[in-house]
Amino acid sequence: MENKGVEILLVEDNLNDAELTVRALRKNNITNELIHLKDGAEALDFIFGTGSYKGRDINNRPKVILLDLKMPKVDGIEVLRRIKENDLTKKIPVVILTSSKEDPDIRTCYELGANSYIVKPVEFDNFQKAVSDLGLYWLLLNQTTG
Amino acid sequence: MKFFEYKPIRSKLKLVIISTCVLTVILVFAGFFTYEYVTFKKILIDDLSTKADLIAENSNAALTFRDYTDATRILNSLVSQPHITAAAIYDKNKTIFASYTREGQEEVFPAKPLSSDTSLFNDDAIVVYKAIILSGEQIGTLYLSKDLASQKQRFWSYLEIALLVLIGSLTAAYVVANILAKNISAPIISLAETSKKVSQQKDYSIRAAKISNDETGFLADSFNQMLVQIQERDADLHKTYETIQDAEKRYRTTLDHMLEGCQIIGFDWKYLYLNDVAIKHSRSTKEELIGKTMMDVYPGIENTEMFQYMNLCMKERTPNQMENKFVYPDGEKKWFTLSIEPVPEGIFILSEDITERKKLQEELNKHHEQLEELVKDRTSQLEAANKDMESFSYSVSHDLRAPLRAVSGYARMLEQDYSNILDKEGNRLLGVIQNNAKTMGSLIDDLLALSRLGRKEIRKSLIDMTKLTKTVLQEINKITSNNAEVKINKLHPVMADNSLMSQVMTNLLSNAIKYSSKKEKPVVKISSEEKDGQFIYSVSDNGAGFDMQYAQKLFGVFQRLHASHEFEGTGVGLAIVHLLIRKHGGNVWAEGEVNKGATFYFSLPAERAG
Repeated sequence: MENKGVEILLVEDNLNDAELTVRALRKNNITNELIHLKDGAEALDFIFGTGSYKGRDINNRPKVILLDLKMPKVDGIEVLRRIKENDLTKKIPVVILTSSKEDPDIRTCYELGANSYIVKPVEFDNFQKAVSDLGLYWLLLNQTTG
Repeated sequence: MKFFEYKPIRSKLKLVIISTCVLTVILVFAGFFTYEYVTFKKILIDDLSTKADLIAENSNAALTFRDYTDATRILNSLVSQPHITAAAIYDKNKTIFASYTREGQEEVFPAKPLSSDTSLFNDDAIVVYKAIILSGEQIGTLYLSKDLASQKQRFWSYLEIALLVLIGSLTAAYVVANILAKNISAPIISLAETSKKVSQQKDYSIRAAKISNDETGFLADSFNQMLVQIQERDADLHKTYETIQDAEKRYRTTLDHMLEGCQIIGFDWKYLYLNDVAIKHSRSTKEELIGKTMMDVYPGIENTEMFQYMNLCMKERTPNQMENKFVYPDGEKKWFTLSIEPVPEGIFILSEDITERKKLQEELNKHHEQLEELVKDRTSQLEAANKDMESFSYSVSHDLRAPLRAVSGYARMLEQDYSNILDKEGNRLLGVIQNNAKTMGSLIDDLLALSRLGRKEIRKSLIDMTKLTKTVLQEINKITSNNAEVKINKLHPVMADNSLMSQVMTNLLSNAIKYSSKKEKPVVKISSEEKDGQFIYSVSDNGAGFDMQYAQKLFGVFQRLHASHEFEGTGVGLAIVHLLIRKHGGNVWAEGEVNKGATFYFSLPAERAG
């Protein structure tokens, strides 16, 4: 499967949230190549070129991963750990998407090496702004360092 | 002298007087006799010599002419002298010429006379030799012998007189001595009797009578003074003795009635004293114990640990305390605390039966263990519940928000993409959907905050409440614009959790600012006071206020007294304040009047640092 030019990897099981996220990015003129994956297992397959993504060039790394925590099968924490454990992938910035700043997993995420997190606000305008700010920041950062 | 020693003074005095008198009489008579004897002998010799001279003179012629008759006549004239027993005239040749012998007398004349004038005494007689001189030539010697019978008679009569005088003076001396001795000894005897009385009756109030003004009088005075002193000391002593006896009695009564067992063991391990409780503990009678040794009563006690402690106390005089399990001969076991103290008699043992206490303690320990087990169980249950609660909160935050986000987000998308197609009413309805979704989001946030704060552990430190309030005010002013005049008085510093107090102050202060925002000149005051061991802080405003009949509802979750179109809010802020203050052991309450303002109070225990 050809995945050249993947710059944003969105891992989100909630299709509504995914659509809102994509819309928020587009609204802010972030038009980079984006792939939306629906659970952790699929995300790991994609990143490490296994399963249905067998044969994908894993050196073609996304510039930023937007990762939801609560997902079926493999959850966000597990995905994060796998990414940060691997020397090839650990430099990819991971922005955690969470429903509440009260989430006890946030601390775990930072310990595992998460680069930032976004609370998905109920209010769309705020959500849109938060997503675009952080996405943009990490995209730009990755371009300068990578 | 022993005999003399036990005689009364009066007899001694009498004896002295009489013996002095007798001695004097004897000495006087002795002197008299000596004098008499000496002078009498001289007189006797002189007298006999004179007579011899006379006879020698007279017999001068008779001897010269050898006239025997005349010589005999001369000698015979001595008949008138009855005491002259014999007389003889010796001639020149010292042979007897003439002689005379008193009638009835056998006189043996010496064969040869002593030539010169000599006088001789023997036991019965006095003999005188006298030379018969004629014209300076001795022509013979005269011999005269006189018996001393008359002198002896005289001596005897002297002796009789002396004896009579002696007896007389003895009698007189006895009488005088009696009177004198009585006078002299009376004060002494009186003194002696007084002292005897004092010593026999132990009555120190008796006083000796002063009979004379001499040494005995002085003695009586001294004696009386001494008695006064003794009486005083005796009284003191008596008082002291009584005090000691009272104390002794009190101690003994105390010991007797103590709830603990008390016993005194002598150095020979014999029971000297036991109170009733000690007797009860030992399960014997007083008679079975007193005077017996511990070893008699409890054979084999020497091998117990308790005995080692007692022995240590007995020998080293060190006090000891111990708990001892005592096994009675019937096998029953009892626990005692023993306090062993050295006392002058030996050792003192205070024993307390703690069997019940021990049992209770064991039961208590058992209960305690059970309780700990229970607490452990409950704690783990609680921890599990807490965990459940956390995951529940997480689920709520995540799962309730996702659809809400979809509602809000899609409504927004509709508005952004299709508002030109919708009419005015359609757009209004879209707005309502978005507002409610937003409110719902706030409610979830606040509810989560309440749950989080409720579970948060309090970490107390000394808080400068004035500074904290000022910081909170600055934060509020950053977020909301208002024209309230906020007066912060100097507030009492308090021991509390800093972040929780910030939360409390934030909620109260923002409430006050919010509810006074519609006034022309909103004024908010914050102050504090100390009362009944508590610091009471108050936040008052001159805003909308409230009706006091709803005061109870103020602090309930989601309870509001104002419509949200008037004042925004979810009704969780005061519930949080209430929760946090209660967690600190304080209280919250409020006073208010509609359109005049409200004052919110919270109290905290007046703990200071440390």
